[in-house]
Amino acid sequence: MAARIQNDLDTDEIRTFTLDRIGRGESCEILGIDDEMARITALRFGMSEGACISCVTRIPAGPVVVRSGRQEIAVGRSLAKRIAVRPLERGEH
Amino acid sequence: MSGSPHCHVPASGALREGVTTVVLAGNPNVGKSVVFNALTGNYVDVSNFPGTTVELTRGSQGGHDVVDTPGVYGVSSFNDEERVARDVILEADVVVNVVDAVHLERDLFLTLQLIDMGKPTVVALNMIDEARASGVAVDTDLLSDLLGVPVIETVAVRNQGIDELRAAIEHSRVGHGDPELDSSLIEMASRVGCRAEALLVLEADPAVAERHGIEPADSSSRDVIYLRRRDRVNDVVGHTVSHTTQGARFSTRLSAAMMAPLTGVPLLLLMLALMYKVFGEWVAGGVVGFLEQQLFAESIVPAVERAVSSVFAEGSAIFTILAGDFGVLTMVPTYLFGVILPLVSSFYFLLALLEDSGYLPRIAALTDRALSSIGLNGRAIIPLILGLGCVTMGTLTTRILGSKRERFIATALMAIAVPCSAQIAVIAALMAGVGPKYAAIYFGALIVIFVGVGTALGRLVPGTSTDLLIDLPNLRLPRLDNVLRKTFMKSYHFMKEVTVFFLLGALAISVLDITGVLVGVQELAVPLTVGWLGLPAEAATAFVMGLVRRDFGAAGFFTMNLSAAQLLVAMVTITLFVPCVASVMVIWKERGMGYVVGLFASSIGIAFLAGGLLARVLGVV
Repeated sequence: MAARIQNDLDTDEIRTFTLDRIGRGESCEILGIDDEMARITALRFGMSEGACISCVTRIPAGPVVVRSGRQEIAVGRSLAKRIAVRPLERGEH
Repeated sequence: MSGSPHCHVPASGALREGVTTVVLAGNPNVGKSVVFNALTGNYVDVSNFPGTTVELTRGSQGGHDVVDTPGVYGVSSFNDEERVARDVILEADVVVNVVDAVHLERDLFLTLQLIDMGKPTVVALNMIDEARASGVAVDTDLLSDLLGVPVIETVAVRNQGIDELRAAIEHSRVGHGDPELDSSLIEMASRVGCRAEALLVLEADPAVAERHGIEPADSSSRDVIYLRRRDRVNDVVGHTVSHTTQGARFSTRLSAAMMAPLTGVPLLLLMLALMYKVFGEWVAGGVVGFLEQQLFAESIVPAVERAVSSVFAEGSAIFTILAGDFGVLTMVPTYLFGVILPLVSSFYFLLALLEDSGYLPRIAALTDRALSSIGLNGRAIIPLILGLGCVTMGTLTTRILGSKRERFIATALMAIAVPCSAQIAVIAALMAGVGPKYAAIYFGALIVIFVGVGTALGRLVPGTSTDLLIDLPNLRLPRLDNVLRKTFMKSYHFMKEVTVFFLLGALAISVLDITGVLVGVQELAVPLTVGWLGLPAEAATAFVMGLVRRDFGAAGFFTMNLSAAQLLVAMVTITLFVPCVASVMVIWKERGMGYVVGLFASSIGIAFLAGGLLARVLGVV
């Protein structure tokens, strides 16, 4: 575990993705949303920075549909590109 | 019930002195209107316009005034719904906060904000049956303790828990607010007069700050408050909600299938085909065919003509006005009750099914990609579909769009290229006899123009469009009683408005006819109608009628003997022609006079250009 955290720190640049690159069924933690209005809306939905979400489906060239708690949320593709996430390993939460 | 100090809100002014105002607040799609109806019974004062989310519904219950508010995710000033809800909530003596038991992570954000505002609150934990069915267990007593306000489990659609909710209104309490906010709230409240407004000022609400002549707090102050509130919500949910099962239910799979293009597009097409079947064939063909061609044309109209002619001589001015071609006793009821009522009510029925099932936001997700190519995002599908019902309603609903640019584009597209249900009704009735080929060309031409106008606007209109970010409500089977109530309310309001326009329009056209002005207009317009479009000279009458209402305009072609190709040219032209007076007034209010002028010029230009080109392609001219 300690080794992996160290690994995360070492390769921080590489391991930070944006939401549009998350595959179906994968989970991630939200690090930041680069759009003020979207950040507030997402926060109200329960999708705040630090929240763990999973990808329900990806519509080709269209929105990414994520699940945050019990809530499904559709995120437009270009907004998803401005949401920084950290992919979570299976079982990590 | 504890009284709360009133905030001095200039906006609504409908507050009655000495009467407790109970305000319903909640997120969209939590069953707030159903709770409202269950609480207040039948006697309600409904908004003057159907389908809009911004108008308010008022009723009374146990001597209190009850006000329903538009669904919002929080109290602030980000859009019109929020501004309306904000001012009504500020005036409230008691807030009944309706929350969806399935989505407490989302809904309790508003709840805690209401509690932080210091409003005496009761929480209606609605759809508790659905939560249980999907494996969500809520510890209601603990939730009530943590929030510090009464929490009542309800299933509003079944009237369960409503009596308890009614009783709890008398025991509403100010809940446990954010303790860290206390000192700054007390200080701000001493400047603005009440805690609720103080909170909004601290949350950087520009409108509330301005009312008190205070510089609004900057957005970082709001971010701090919001983030802490989010943490509190997560904490409350963590303590009170447990998931017993998380299996992939049928609705979860259906939801995914609705949004994946491979299955979603066929599903959408299937739904449109079904709508066409119900709308175009059963209602327009069957029901309208019977009512308009048999009941009215063969029985009612001749009877009215006989009755009127027994008093006023046939050919006299009064006879023409009452029972002539545009008679207020003949043509007006024929179209109102024989054509428009059956089609509009069936449209609202289908729309209510779509709304209540939760399919609409999924269509928004599916069509996001396509709509973003014309400068919109998936959300715009909602006003566009509503525009198919009534452009006026669609235009008002453009308020949900995130930017001025999107509202500009969506309004123009609806006004130009989206026929409204009343117009479709008349067109469907007219074209029922000419075969599917012409119907296909009609819709094809509209789609080409829709995409063309959309693409041009997407390139030309300055600004940036916002991105899609919407929550998807659970899919559920719509409840027939709820669907029927919505259908009835919306159809009733629609018909009430249409009737006035049809009566005045028919009267005006008859007067123009009697005074000979109509013939003058027809002669003037000959180069356009006969020369360019290949239609008879009387077509000018229909366009004059079209200035009043689009469906009225289309109806003007009924009495002309047109060939199938001429009919198609006429229908395409009248569809693209200017929007009706009612929607022009709304567009004027929403977008300004300059916009209306531009819209008139472009819709008339596009209508005659497309009509003339089509006439040449079809060999009419």
